[in-house]
Amino acid sequence: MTTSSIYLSKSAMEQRLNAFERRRAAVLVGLGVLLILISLLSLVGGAVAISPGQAGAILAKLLGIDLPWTYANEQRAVLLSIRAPRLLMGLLVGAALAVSGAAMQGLFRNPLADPALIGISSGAALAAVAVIVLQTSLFAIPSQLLGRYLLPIAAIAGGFAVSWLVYRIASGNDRVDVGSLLLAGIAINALAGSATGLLVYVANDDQLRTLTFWSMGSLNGIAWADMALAAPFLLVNLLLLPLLADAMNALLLGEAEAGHLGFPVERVKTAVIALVALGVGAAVALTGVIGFVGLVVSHLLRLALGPDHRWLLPGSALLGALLLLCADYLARTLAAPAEVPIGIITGVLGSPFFLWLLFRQKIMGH
Amino acid sequence: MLTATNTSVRIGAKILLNSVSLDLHPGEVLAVIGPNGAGKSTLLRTLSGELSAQSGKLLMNGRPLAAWPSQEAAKMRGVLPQASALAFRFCVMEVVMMGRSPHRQSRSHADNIAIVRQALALTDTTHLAERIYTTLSGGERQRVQLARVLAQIWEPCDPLHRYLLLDEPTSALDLAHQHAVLAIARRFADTSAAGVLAILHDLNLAALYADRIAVLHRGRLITVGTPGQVLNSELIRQIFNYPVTVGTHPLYPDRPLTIPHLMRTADTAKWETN
Repeated sequence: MTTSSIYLSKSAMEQRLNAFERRRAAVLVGLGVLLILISLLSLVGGAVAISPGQAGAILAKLLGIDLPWTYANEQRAVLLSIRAPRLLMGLLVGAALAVSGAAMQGLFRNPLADPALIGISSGAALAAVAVIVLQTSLFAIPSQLLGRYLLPIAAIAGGFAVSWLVYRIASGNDRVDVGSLLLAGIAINALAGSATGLLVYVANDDQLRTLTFWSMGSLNGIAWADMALAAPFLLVNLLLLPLLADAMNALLLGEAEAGHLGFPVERVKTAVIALVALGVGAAVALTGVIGFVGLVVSHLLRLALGPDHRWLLPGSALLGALLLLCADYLARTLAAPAEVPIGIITGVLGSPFFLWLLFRQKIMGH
Repeated sequence: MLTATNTSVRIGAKILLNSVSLDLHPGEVLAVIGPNGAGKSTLLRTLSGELSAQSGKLLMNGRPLAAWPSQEAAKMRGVLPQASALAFRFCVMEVVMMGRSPHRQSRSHADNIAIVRQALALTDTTHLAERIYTTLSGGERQRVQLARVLAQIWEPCDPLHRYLLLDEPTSALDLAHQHAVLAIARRFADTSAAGVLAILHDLNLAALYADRIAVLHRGRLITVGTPGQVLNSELIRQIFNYPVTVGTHPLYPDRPLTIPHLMRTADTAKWETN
């Protein structure tokens, strides 16, 4: 090792590191542009035809500007009270699910830890379903106290309880055991499934329709009131998780190592689990269980951006929103005017991807 | 000084450390030796704040270990684990940069990069800087982790001293890199007045690089002293349950050289039943 060789490699190394940073930035910008395009597409596409010009005119009118496109009142109502809240909800839910998935995978040090796969979503859904069916009986008093907030709060509490349980089961001896992690997920999904079955058995017809929707997930029928209900929780998830990026990077080295680097490991773990429960719980409360978003998004992004959470979390927010809006667009248009539940679309796209991941882990031997 | 006084650690009913008192002085290399299960790693994990002791007193630079804010402690104490769980595809530069986490607020990005580069050069890993960590060999990973830990405690924190705790730092390394790692630790102790504690299995490496050797057996500290005082055939036979001859190194007369005897098949059976 000579001094000259260090200095020779210095500039080359720095150039390539800078190129890597630029590539990461370019990926984020590209995702942002695609997200804007798909957002516009979701405003104009659907059962009621609205041209881009008309959409522009309707939105401009809100700001008091008149544009030369004419539109019917029906089109205005569809755009402003159906498509706009649905679009925003899709953005927030997709972003929160993907960021939560990336965070969970960091915490478990394993790329298979999707919130739906390891039972967090079904825990949240079970709590939400219990509230729907038992609102007038068992939950009469909390329902009067909390009103519409009971549903998301119950879902968040359910999500938190399950995350904590799964974490306890899977992380013994400082190593997260993937086998126990996935088995715990299977057990919790099964338990939640049979509890939901029981609730279906006692539910009335109205409740049955709602329950069906829980099991599949959908952005259908999201109104501004739903948005207002869920948005604060989703935004807390989206804004606070990236602040823990450094600590999550250190956690990938191992919990003891993160502690030696000066991170308050126990507090970080609790904060990540709480924030994930907040995001996933709120998402599930309003849109049901939408699986595989966290899994697919953060995995694809690790290939493009590397595993550094400071890039991965913002990237996941963008790609998660993008993916969910694409899936929702397909859900609305594939069988128009009928709708396919969005959870079915993400499931159809996500399951083969998951199998491919498993296969790849197997042949790569870790 | 990093001190443990009458420190005992129990997990369940099992006593892992039994009233151990040991000082790690600034500027010294202290090797910890002992058979498997003697409590070496437990001692290191206790000094690193990872395990809490049921009884006894632990002090770092005159203050109880638990009383140091974790970020302050991280600036003066680096810990190299036996093996790292890192399974994500970070490049080596990023891994070593994680060592700078405690300094993110106090130092500029350029300073941190410069220190990372020096740590890479010191551990002979500059050529690996852009490689993906998970594609490295075991020995390369260990050197990269050492670079990360050195980068963490790179700058002096005067008037306080720094400490480097190494858990079997040479286990995955070839001959030259075993010596290189201990030479780095030696130089770090000499030039930075840092206290280095290293768990070692190779008695000759311990004899060559350590100022003092501590011998642990069944959770107790048996003895601690210079290699010449500690390493003798009787003690080693008792502690490791194995016959050796201890001579002096032909090049360095003050350094003992431990030569194990041949294990005969008859002994294998006896050893296995022990």
